[in-house]
Amino acid sequence: MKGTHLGEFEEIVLLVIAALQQEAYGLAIKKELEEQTGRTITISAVHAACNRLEDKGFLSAEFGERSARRGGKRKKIYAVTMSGQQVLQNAYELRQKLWDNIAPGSFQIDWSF
Amino acid sequence: MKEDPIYYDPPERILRLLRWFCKDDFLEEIEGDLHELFQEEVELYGITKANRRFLGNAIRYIRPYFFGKKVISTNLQYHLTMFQHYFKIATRHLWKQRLYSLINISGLAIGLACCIAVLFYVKDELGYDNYHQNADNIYRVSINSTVLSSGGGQDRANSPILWGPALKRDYPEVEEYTRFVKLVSVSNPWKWSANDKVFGETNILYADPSTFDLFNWKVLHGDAATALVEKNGIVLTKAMAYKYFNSENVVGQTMTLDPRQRDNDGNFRTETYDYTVRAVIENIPRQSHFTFDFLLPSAHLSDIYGLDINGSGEERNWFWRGSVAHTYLQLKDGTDPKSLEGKFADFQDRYLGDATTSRGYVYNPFLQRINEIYLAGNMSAQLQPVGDKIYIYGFSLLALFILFIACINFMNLSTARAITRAKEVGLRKVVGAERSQLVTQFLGESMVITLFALFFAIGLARYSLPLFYDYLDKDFAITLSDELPFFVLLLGVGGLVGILAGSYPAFFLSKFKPVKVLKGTFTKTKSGTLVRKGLVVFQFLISVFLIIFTLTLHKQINFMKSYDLGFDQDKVLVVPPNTARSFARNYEAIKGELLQIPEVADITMSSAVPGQGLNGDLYAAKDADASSGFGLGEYLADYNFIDLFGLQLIAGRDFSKDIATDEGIFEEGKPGQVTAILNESALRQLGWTAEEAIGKQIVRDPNAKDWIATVIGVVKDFHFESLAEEINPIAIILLEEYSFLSVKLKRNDLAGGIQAVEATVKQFAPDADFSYNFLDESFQEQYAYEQGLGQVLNITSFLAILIACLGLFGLAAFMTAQRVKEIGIRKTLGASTTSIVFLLSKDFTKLVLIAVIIAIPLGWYATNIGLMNFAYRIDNSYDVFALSLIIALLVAFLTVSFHTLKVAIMNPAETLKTE
Repeated sequence: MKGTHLGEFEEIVLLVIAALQQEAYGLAIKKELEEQTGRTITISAVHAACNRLEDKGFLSAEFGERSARRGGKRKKIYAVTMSGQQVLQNAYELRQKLWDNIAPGSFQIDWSF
Repeated sequence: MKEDPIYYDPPERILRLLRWFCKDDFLEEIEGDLHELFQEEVELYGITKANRRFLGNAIRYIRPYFFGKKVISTNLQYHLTMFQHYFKIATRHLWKQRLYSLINISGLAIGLACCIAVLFYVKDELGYDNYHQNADNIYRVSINSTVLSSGGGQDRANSPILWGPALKRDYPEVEEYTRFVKLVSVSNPWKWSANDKVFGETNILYADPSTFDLFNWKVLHGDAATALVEKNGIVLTKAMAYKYFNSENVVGQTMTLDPRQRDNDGNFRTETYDYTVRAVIENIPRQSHFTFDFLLPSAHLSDIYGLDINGSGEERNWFWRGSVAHTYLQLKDGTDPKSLEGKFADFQDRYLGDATTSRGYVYNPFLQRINEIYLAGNMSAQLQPVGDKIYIYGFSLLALFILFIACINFMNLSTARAITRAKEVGLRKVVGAERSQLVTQFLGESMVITLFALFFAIGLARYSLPLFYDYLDKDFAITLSDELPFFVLLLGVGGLVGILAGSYPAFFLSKFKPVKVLKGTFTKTKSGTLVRKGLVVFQFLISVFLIIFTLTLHKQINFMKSYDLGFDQDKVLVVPPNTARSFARNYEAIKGELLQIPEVADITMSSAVPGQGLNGDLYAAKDADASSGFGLGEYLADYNFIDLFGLQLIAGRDFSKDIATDEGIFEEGKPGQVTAILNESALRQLGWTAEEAIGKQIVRDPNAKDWIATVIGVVKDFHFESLAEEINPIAIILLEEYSFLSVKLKRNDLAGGIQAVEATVKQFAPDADFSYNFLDESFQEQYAYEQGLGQVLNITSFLAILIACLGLFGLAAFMTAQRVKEIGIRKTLGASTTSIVFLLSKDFTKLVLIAVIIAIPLGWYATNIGLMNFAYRIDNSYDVFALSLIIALLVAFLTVSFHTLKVAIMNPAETLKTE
């Protein structure tokens, strides 16, 4: 098993897949990502991230139906696995903890008065 | 989306690229999504832009993550893993078996270092004169001359000065010629002065203006093509420009030449000549068969020689025959030099008249391509010393010998220790390894070892190359940055050695039957032991052969050094011509002064002294046919010559001042009749006995009749040349033609004697630099070549036996370790330490003995051939062979005994308790 570190982009991809209402396949993920983040994202980056996450065991995938629009190819539909959910949960908790550690009022810009 | 029936095809070519590049596993998804994206983009942007974007999208997949060429990727990945594994196993083994690794690597490193050194040397030697653009069309006219009477021949590098222009005139295939003449001698440098700086220079050539048409030396400043047309022009090299002017562009500057010529009284003429620098060229590349610092216009030669050197030369004169110039021809493209060579006989008939023979010689001119001159070697009158192919072959052979011995070490140690790898091989086979994979593994291991060795070898070579070049008296000028292709070649050599050394062990180890080795019944194979023994014998065969050769050579050198030369060379101080000529005319006066010095026993002057060159001419008995002429060396000497050198008269008498006729008869200042003392060799040539000879007369140059010499005495043959030469016929002629002063010193206070002689010489020749040598020492210098060779052989045979012993050491370590239990049992049963040492050493000493027995006849045969090169030589004697036998046996025994002793003195309780 490869390393289980979760990169920032990977985390977002995981979250998007988890949140996606329709079939979570490459193009759909790309669109959702662009919509949510406002960034332009290339399809190859999505594919690389998804396949890596699959290697790490955070995503599972199955092939859908063929369609002419796809040049007779099948969709590869992703779903977040249990360990994927776990790792998202961990990341969330870590952030939460870090946020909690920040003393109230720290972010006040005018803290010195 | 599904309801939309229109489907657009994305560019197939880009898809193909994608399919070629990406791993299959990804393709379904990627292609699918890209298709879909393309459809959307066509609808959004139109077909053209969509196509462009498709390419952009596809190209982004070209990254390592998606890479995977179907066939290669699986194999590559698999191989990579296996290689990593092999490498790990190999390094573990290397470390675990440190002793053997050390022996293997150090042996191979030494062998490879020898090869590197020799490769550098060979590469350098082969690279001479290739830098000329027209190298393939430039030829030097060289001449082979054969002595009619003896059949002995010699090649000389120079040719008559009038040939160049005549060849160009007569033969259209000769496009251009140029000639170089060197008049300055090393012993009497010419003085150049410029810019308040004065230096003596010897690297000065007269050259034709056409020089730069043939040779494309790089011109830095000025116009080289016209530089030598006018008489006052010179061409300099960059180094000289800096030496005299401290700057590069010195075109137009004036330089003054003092050629240090002497007048008839032996004093320097003070005449000087002014020259203008017309061109500055890059220094002549080191890899040239001749170099120079200054070029002077050849037009001067017409004045010096007193004839038009470019003339049509209707008159037959000496300059058609006497070789004074180095002539280079540029032939038209596609000319066969052989066809031109075929025309030389006719050419000589036309211009020399008397066909190709003259003064007892047959002349056969031939053409040497410029880039082949350097290695042709062994010719007289070269402008500079050149190399020799013999060295290339010899050194390559020696290096290969050593490398081969090191390879054998590797083979032997790997196969001997096969048992340590046998289980591994068995298991691998059980798991499914094919033999080819095992071979790959073991070859790989040997490659790793060779690579290590190569690494060390480069370091070794780095430090030993300058020493090696020093032996050869060759400039060491290697810039490592220029040698990158060479290092690639080295890697190739390393790989080759790895395969050579590793192939047998790989074949051997991969052969094991898994059932046998895993059951534990496998111990050793008979064939393996036999091959191993054979290889050890072969190693020592080479080593002993080299030892025999080395010992013989050294014996020969000692023999030559201590040989009674037949003349007295002890404490004879020789003042060479550059000093002696300046007072030669005042001989009687200086003689009187010198004899006053208490340390001086006797002095004499002569045209030559033994061991320092000799001239001669064609002589014949007075009444004999001119064709019976033979070459006779001439010592033109004074009355004391025979006495001082202690030559032994066997008939007749020495020159005497009391007998007036000894002085000879002179006509118009030239000798007409002289008296001579011959050596025995000359008598044999003339067919006279010693008694008959007295009173007979011989003629110098039977055609020209230079003078007639009356024989008044005969001396016993003495070695006036190196012992590599036969004693040739010579005559000692009473004639004042002095170049050398010889002073016999009396006492052991040599330093005092030298000082006193120098002081006296200074009185007579205040402007000459005093130089001297001792006759015995300079005579020994003739053996410098043999001594250099002896030193190289010393090192080679030492390395050979060292590496062979390293191998033996490793082999013995392993073999004795295997018999530890046996020894333990023997000891408990009462065997003595000595008997055990002998038992264990027996196997190895036997092998060495076999090697010696084979090596001796081979060595005997080879040394006999080698000794043929020396006219006076030792006989092959038993002591050399006995000594090499003892050396080999002793060294082998000592090597092995380190282990055998260790095992033999071990406490049997220790060795036996394990089971």
